[in-house]
Amino acid sequence: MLFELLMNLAKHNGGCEAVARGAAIATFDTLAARASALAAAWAAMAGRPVGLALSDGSEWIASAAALDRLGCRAYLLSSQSAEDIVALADRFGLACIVCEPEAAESAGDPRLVTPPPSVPGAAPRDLPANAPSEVVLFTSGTTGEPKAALHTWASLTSGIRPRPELAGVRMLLAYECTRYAGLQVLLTGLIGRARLTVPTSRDMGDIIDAIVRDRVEFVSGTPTFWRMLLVRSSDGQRRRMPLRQITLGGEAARQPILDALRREFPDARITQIYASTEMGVCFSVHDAREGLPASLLNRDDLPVAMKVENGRLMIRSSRSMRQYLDDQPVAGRWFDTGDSVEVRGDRVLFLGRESTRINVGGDKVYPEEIEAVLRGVEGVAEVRVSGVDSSIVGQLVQADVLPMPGADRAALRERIDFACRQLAGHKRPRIINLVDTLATGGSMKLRRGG
Amino acid sequence: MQVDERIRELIAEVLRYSNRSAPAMANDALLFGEGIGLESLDFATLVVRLEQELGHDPFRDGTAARLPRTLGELVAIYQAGSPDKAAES
Repeated sequence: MLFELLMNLAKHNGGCEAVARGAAIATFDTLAARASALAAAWAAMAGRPVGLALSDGSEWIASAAALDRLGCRAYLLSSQSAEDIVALADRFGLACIVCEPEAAESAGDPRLVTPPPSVPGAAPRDLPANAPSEVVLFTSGTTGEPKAALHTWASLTSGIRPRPELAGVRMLLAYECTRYAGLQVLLTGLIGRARLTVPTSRDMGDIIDAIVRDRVEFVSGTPTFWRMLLVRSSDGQRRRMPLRQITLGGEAARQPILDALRREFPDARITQIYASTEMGVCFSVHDAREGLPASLLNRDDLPVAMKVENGRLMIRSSRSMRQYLDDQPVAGRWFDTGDSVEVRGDRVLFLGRESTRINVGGDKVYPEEIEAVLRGVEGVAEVRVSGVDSSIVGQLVQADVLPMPGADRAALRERIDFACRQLAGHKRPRIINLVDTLATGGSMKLRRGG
Repeated sequence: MQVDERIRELIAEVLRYSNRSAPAMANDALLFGEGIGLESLDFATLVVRLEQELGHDPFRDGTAARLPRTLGELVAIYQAGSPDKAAES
């Protein structure tokens, strides 16, 4: 399906710019030609389980399309160390892994291969017949082991409708391609014939430069991503961002970040997406209010049904993955999202994730609630709240706080302490660390636990 | 720094965080209730901070049979629980 999509795009829009990464720009023609050449070169991989561990960009897209054409089960592994790639190859019995030259060289494992250089003028050899392909995605694993979710390119695109107005629109691919959210942006862009900008690194400074330089109009990111973008960009840079579409997903967005984006980019439409690797895209809302409209609950006229059971959001979707690898199919069944919610008035509000809930002497604390409080403290750029083991009360609340650049740390610490004193005793962070960096995964969600 | 001195400092810090001032901290002062006035979460915080600094938690590894009543008992638990550290200093 991805391969066919590229061929169609080349046929009708061949000369249009498709993917830009730094100064390198690929047209739909070059993407399609490269995908054909790679499929021909990799004919021996047909129908086999293959890992894809390239870094993002046009080569990633062409390789993924080639594996689709060859009917492979493609395991989307983000670009990572050679040892990790080899460990994943063993765990999933992969025939080979397509990766960057550095990883292939340092591993010295014959299963690690790099895309062959293109040979100008060489016509692709005959390909084997089309076989159905599969895609294995890993959940973002903000806590614990990531889980492997089995999809097809058809299930990944089922929520994307063709939108002619996207043709030529400049979109940012801020998420890694290997993430569900990254694939959604990639496929929305390809299907809509948009022009995708891939940042040259994960560093927010590079991402901001890419938005300004490429005059990007559509940007999709997590609330964490948007908060960091606002902190790291100058007023001048933000004025030069011609944003028309701001999309938030992956984590629950609270009202302050929605308000800040509305203030900074008054002309942009603000969309919140509720989606997961397992369930696909479920809902999107455009009203810049936190949570989801309660009117979406308990409906049977939507492709995605949603209900609240014991305070948990349950979803049944026709766009879901087929199953976790080595597990029962989930399609058409109710799926526990692990999100604790509360219906307040006309809104379904997210309290936090069950898996990251902290248990302080039997009292439940959602890190998200405490993070929201600390983010309101002047001089705080970002916060991560987690549980720290206690032999006395089970767990205590711990906060890692990233100060704004140039903030007076002593004064900041006093303001944090003051804000914490307003919280109930069990919710109060007892261990507070001022840190220089906070890790986000490739999913751009705050990493939790560990 | 001596363990008993550090424990007194951390108790004062934990109390200050909750906007309470530290009373006199004699060895026979009661940790909880009347006395120093630690609450269970304050005490839990103290134990975690000490674990981060000293590398062991006597209430987890079993060297402390029960919770201490007085400051002196608490200090004794930590002094007894890290003989190798004491020998180094």
